[in-house]
Amino acid sequence: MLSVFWAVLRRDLLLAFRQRGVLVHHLLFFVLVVALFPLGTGASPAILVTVSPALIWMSVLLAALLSLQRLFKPDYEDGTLEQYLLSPEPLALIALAKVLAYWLASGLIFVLASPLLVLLLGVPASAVPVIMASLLLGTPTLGLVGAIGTALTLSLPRAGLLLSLLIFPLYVPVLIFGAGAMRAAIEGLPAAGALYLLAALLMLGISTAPFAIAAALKISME
Amino acid sequence: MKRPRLGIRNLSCGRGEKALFQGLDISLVGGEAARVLGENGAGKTTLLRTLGGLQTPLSGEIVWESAQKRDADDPVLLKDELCFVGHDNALNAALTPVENLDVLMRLCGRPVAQPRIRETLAELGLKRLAHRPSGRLSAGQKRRVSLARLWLTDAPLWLLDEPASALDVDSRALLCARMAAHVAAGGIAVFTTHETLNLADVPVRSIELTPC
Amino acid sequence: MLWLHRFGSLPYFYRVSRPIALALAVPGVLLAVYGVYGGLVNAPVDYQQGDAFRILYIHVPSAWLSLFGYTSMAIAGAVALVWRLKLAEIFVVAAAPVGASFTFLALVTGSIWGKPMWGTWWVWDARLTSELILLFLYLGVIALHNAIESPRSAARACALLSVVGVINVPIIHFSVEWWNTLHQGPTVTRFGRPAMEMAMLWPLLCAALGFTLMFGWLTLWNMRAQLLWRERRSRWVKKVFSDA
Repeated sequence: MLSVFWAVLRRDLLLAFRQRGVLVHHLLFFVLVVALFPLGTGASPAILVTVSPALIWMSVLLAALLSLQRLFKPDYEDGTLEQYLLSPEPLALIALAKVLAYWLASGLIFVLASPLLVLLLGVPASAVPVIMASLLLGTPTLGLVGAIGTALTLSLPRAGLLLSLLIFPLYVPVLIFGAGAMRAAIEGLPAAGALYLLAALLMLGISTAPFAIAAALKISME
Repeated sequence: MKRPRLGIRNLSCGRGEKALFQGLDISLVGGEAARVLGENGAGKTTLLRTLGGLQTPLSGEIVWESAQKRDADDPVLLKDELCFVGHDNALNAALTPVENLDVLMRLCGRPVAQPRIRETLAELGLKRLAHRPSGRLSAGQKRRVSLARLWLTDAPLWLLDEPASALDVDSRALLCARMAAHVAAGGIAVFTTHETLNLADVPVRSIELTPC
Repeated sequence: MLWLHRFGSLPYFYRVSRPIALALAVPGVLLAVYGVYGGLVNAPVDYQQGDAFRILYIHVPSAWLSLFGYTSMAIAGAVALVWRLKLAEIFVVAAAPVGASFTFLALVTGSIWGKPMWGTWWVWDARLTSELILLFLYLGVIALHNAIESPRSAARACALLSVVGVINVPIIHFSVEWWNTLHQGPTVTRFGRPAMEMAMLWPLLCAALGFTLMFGWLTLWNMRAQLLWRERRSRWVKKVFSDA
């Protein structure tokens, strides 16, 4: 059973590697949103530090929305998705492998790029470990929840705006706890509570979302 | 040896709410092939997808009796013994034929070693293409790669949707030979086709779909 | 005779739902009118909030129905997914706009109430914010239903979305509370204290019950419309119209 999990994971990571240009686009999107923001607000360090949690997390949310649209689309278009559904192995496991590969390829980039960006915004270096931890715990949940939405809108030709309406309300807890942890860290307050809550959301996501993704894929393929 | 059996009882299928065909009854045993006939839109693809379990029938049932025995609590399901070649090739454009076939065989629970995949591709005249991105292959070459699954699998039930589309004469002859060998060895093949597929020496039954 | 076998219960539902809907509508409207009139006109003035509190006679029942509606959609959604029950699918789709309307009403009345209390039309207070996100959850279901062409797939997708949403409602509510804890405690329990006069509580309960019956009526009526549209090709619907 696990061999299928590894096979799908390896396949998608290989694909991500072959199409690594796309990953650079994700990263550039993230960097651009953050870099353009001071041009709108003015470069006052006080303002930038205050809005940095919201800014970082909103750009992560937007980048997740854009990248998630392609999560199942190629497989849907070339018929591979049909083979996932026909497989005697559990579809939820295949879905989990796909989300994990997606996160390893595009979610992890945000985590790794975040120190540079928050330092650009004038956030104290002491807050960086908490910020990275919050992204590390929060972004996989975004992938899991977003995958449900993208699986539901699979058969629609242009689902981008609809997808945002479906998944942004569900992203609220991650946004609140993620930005909350970041704000606490910037103000020098303990952030462990928010990080635990993010971890709890992630556990809930891992244990339930794959089944919802599987059900959504079946509905979309019928 | 016990032969597998595919039983279709009073099956009605449709797209959405609309029934395409109703009351289909047929029973196929190992050693028989069946060609699905019907005009465009009669529900040939829908029937194959329903048999594979991708779609829920409006009514009726599909029974799979496997030749293998596990215990009664853990029966061998149709899913476990199925090779489904759909209308789409299920090949990712950025992966090579070998990589694609490797994942496809693992997905259907019948992993095969990579050397064997390369050998099979060579038998099908695709040796030079085995390590090229599938996206750069021609339509006929892609179809042949996708059909290579039939040489790699030992699943008793084959569901093939237009397997011969985009194939040249030689490839079609190879496909016919493989299908005939599969059926002669006790397997079942249900297929749709616009081309003539001549399966010598094996019984080919017809499933006629009449629109309702 | 496929349609008889499979759709047998739907014409039956269509027939019996009409009297049931009317049986909900009449007492529902009467109770709601009585409760709202009692609250807006008869109830004594609150010594702290003056006349402004009266809007709660619409706000509280609407807010209750916004949650009740979404929960009922999720339960029906789970039933639809597990047992493939058509009526449950139709319920999810039919209840969404009704629930969304009550959620919208709760938001508007909440903001009207907030104007004299907080001095501004909108405050990012925890419950108003949760209610706003709940409205987005409703709108997501409605938008998904409109986007998917096949009615069957659309309804099943909405059923799944509402189940996923309802798991998230308490989490969203908790996170929003966590985010902002400056607001006063929940209003219904505050009103529920023994100190509260019967003259104030009684109309509120009547209004809540009346609104709930109206929710049932409107949803049933919408279900009938959805059912006719989905089954428009079937014989029994054609018969309904040829008889009429």
